[in-house]
Amino acid sequence: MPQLQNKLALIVGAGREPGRGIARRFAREGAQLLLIDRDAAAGDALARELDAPFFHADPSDKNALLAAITQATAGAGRLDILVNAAMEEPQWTRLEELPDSAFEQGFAQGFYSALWAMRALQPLMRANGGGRIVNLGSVYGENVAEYIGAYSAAAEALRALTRTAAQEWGADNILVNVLMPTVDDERFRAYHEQHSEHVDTTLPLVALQRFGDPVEDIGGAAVYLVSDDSRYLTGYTIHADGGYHMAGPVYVPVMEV
Amino acid sequence: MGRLDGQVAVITGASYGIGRGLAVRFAKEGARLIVCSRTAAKATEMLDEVHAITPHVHYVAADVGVREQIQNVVAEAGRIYGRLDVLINNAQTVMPWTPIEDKPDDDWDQTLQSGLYATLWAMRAALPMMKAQGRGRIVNFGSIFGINGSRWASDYAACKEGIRGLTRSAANEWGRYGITVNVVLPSAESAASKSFRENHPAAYKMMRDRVPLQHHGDPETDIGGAILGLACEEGRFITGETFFLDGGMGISRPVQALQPHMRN
Repeated sequence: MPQLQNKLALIVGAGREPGRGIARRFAREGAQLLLIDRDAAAGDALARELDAPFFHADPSDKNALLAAITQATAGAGRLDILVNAAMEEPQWTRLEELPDSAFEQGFAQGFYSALWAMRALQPLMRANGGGRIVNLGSVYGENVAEYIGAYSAAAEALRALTRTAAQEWGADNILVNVLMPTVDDERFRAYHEQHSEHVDTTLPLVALQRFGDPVEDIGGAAVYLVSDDSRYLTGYTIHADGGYHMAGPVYVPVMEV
Repeated sequence: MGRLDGQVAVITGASYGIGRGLAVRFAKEGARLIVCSRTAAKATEMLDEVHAITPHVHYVAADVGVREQIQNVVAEAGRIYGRLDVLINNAQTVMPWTPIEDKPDDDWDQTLQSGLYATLWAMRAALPMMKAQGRGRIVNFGSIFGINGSRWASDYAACKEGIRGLTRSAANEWGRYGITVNVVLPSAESAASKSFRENHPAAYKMMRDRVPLQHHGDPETDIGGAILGLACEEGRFITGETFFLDGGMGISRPVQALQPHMRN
């Protein structure tokens, strides 16, 4: 049974996972989609697949993003769901060598793009009796942040922004939450291939012992956060990570059962 | 067509409040139910409401704080329906407000037996069925009073945080069987919230206005919806998580820069 029939959803960063998986799942659940991404080829491909309009813009460029949002929502005059998933792959650099420009870029992608989109769309949601905003967080921001200082700081700043928006906009029935996924995407598979011994040793420490399928696992959790089911949940972080957030590198016996 | 068609759920403490709302919501979504509470006489209204929706409900009068009794409740799912998909450990005895230094050991025993131990016993009774099915969903009940600590309810706070620790441990141990285990911290309209509102209207209004969604949760829609989603396919990759089902209340702290003129 489709959970998002007649809902209109804008996905910023729909060109790759997890935004793409979320878009595919939303489409399956009956939502109408508006897609934004910096990668024109990936955006066009998804647009054709889902028969949804694509608006090409770099979300870390404020003017470009706002122009795309205006264009995307002009016809509808409403928006039910906003998903902010514009964070790109981080630079791996030691903190003492990480240039200011990396922080500027990380915050533009991971923090400001969400802020700009949220502020641009809040009036529309408010005028239509409410809405749902899902901001993609990072387990590397919440936990290990080795050599990705800019990326993780931006991801955690987004969580503070989420709480502020939840508190200020709750009276207008705009619900704002963070979805923190572990995604079984190309990047993860490439890492797994390069570091198979490491991944094969540590993945069994995660409760469900895998990273998430973008459509079934992460997309499913995203549907949960924007559907009527979670109508009383705002200001929080939900981990779609198969239990990754409670798997510590602790010394426990491996029990063969 | 319901979203829980074919599924079997056990709900403890189902006579009133959140447990009753869950029973009604799950019944409407097509689940077959085992429900329990301590006093059969108090369950009649709930059972009438559920029977109006589905014939597939079986009531057991049981004190979940007694091991054999809660084990029997869970076993009924297997005996009657041959399976168990969702276990909801909602029941909890609440003892009177008492400072830590005065709280009798017996209060601690009753609180922990009906909350922490009942949850543990029910989960262990459910495991063989869920393991054999390769899938199961367990939802336990924590509390904001546990997260924040609580004045005068140390037993309750400790019990609820104990349940959270148990939840995450079970999520870690049983994930490989396809079982997810999560804990919810609901804030719902109840006899206690109504009595607080009546006796302390100013304090109630001040607290409620700090809640982003500005109302107490409805057991069937607000709390029931969130737990329903966890039981469905949408929730399949979420485990060990703590859900604040409180309209955002949990992100608030009591002493903040109050700016009423900024609200609109």
